[in-house]
Amino acid sequence: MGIRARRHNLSPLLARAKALLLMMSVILIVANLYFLSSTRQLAESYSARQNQATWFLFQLTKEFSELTAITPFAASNKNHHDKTLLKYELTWSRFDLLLNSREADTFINLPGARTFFSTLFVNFQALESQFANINDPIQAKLLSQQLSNLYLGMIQYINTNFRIQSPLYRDQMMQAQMLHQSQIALLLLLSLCASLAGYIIHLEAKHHRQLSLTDSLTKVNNRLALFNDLERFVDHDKEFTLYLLDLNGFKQINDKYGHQAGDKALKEIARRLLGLKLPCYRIGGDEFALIELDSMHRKPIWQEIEACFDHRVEITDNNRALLSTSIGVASYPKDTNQINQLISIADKNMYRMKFKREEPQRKNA
Amino acid sequence: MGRLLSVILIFISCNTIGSELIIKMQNREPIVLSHNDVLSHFEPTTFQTQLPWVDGKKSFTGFKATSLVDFLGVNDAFSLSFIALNDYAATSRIEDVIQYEPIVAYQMDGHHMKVRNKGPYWLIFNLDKYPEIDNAIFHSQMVWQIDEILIHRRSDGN
Repeated sequence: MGIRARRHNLSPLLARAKALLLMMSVILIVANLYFLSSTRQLAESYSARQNQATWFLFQLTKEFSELTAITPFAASNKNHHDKTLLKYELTWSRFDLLLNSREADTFINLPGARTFFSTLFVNFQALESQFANINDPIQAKLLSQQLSNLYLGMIQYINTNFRIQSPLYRDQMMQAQMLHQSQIALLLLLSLCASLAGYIIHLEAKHHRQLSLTDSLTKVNNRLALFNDLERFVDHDKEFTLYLLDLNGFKQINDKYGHQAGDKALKEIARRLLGLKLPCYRIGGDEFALIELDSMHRKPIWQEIEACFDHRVEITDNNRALLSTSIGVASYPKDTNQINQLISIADKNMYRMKFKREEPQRKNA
Repeated sequence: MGRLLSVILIFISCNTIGSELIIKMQNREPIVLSHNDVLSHFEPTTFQTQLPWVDGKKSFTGFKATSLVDFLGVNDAFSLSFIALNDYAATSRIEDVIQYEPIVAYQMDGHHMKVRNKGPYWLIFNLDKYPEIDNAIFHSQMVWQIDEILIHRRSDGN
């Protein structure tokens, strides 16, 4: 009884757990998809950044190195002078592109890049006024030295931060690794959720099966369970005895005190029969069945069954009634090896007893 | 001979730092257009557009690339190559040039463009008018700091 009651309480809990698990599964699937796509984006951004960084840095480096190389010769002739000015303009435009064009966004927004190149550009612009004096070889050489310092600083920065083992690259690798680990964790969680959901569905199926085999009023097994068990015992070739019980005096309780009183009586009888520790079934209105496996080696339980009816049954707060039972017995395979016949033999025996019992009662009435 | 030519070319390019534009075709002498030539020979066209390399909408003034071909009397051009001061070059198909009418711009928001502002000449497609060409293929064709234009003709191959 205790187990059955708990199982009934378990059901809403299971339903809630199932809904929760389904929701979590959906969330986990979405999270997995998100992580998958962000991994892909990260991979794409690697190559995009690589390309842009390579292209813009290449352009800037090219112009800057040419400017640095030609400046000391600016005073030598007009061509070199003009070319120096042109290279300054070109280098200027490469800084501008690197810092301000949308195409360079992903590169310049790498940690530290904008600060470094902005500062470098400011220092570069600060040299502009000195280009007025490059007709003087000494001034040109001085300017070249300053440009060279800036240029070498830039090369140093690039060498430090765009090596394969650079801190930037390491950060990105760690990010990728974390994404990968999160994905594995999420997948594990997902499979856990799935197996829990599967387990709950299994429990539910078991619960429903139990419900279908249980008599809802008395909580003992029902008629379907009896036939299932009989078939099972026959299939396994077990020897057993079937007892069919028909209550005497039950209809009178129903008629006199109402169905609620009748139900109460049935519940009490079922409780007493369960005390016999035998498989017990309610197979009709006031009909019960018990199965005794011969392997149990018990003394005949006829008396034990009748003892269940020795005491009065409480049917309302103030009324108690005395019930009795007629018992029909049939043994497998001694009496027959057919289930239907077995029941029919037990039935006949039971009616024979009932008839015998009712005779004297009528006389008394 | 090649070396001599390159020396001459360097000489020319050094002298054309201002804003001279060199037009080249196979089997023809290069044509050097001063900025005044450009202003007097070609009808100016102005439009506004956004570009990936500048903030917000800018107004650009220049001459239509098609008018250059017309001006030279070339009727069998199949592509135009625009070569920049840093030797970057990109080629546009004549069909695209006719359909989308890019301009060789020399003014941005009414001001002449210095080299540092991607001048003296910048090939601009009107991306606002033709959003379908707002992509990497056409972005890469918008050569800035142009100092030379090559006209390829169908007869070149013969």
